[in-house]
Amino acid sequence: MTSYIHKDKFEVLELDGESVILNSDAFMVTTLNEVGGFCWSLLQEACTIRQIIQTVRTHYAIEDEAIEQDIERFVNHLMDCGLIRHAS
Amino acid sequence: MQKPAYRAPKVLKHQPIRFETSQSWNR
Repeated sequence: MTSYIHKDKFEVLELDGESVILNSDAFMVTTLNEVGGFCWSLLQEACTIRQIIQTVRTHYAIEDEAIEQDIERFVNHLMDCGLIRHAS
Repeated sequence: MQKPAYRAPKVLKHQPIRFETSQSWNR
């Protein structure tokens, strides 16, 4: 199972429940919603999509099946933004 | 304590950092 982790050490600001990630190497700024920020904090350490889903389920007390697609899509988006990488 | 509401995690914005140069300030 593939695990993911932050690509680098980024500056993160919390503003109005949103997380603002400053990538000073690429001169890019990325804003995540509240749940996105929670997932981002989990990715400080290497974790699989399955682990993120489990933690989010527990934290938000939800059983919805759609969450799996939500998390998978979000992780892929973070990869596209160059913020996370595959953990070796 | 009430659990926070779940919404699909999303990247809301992903954009270049805008620099304010002295030139743009002086425009």
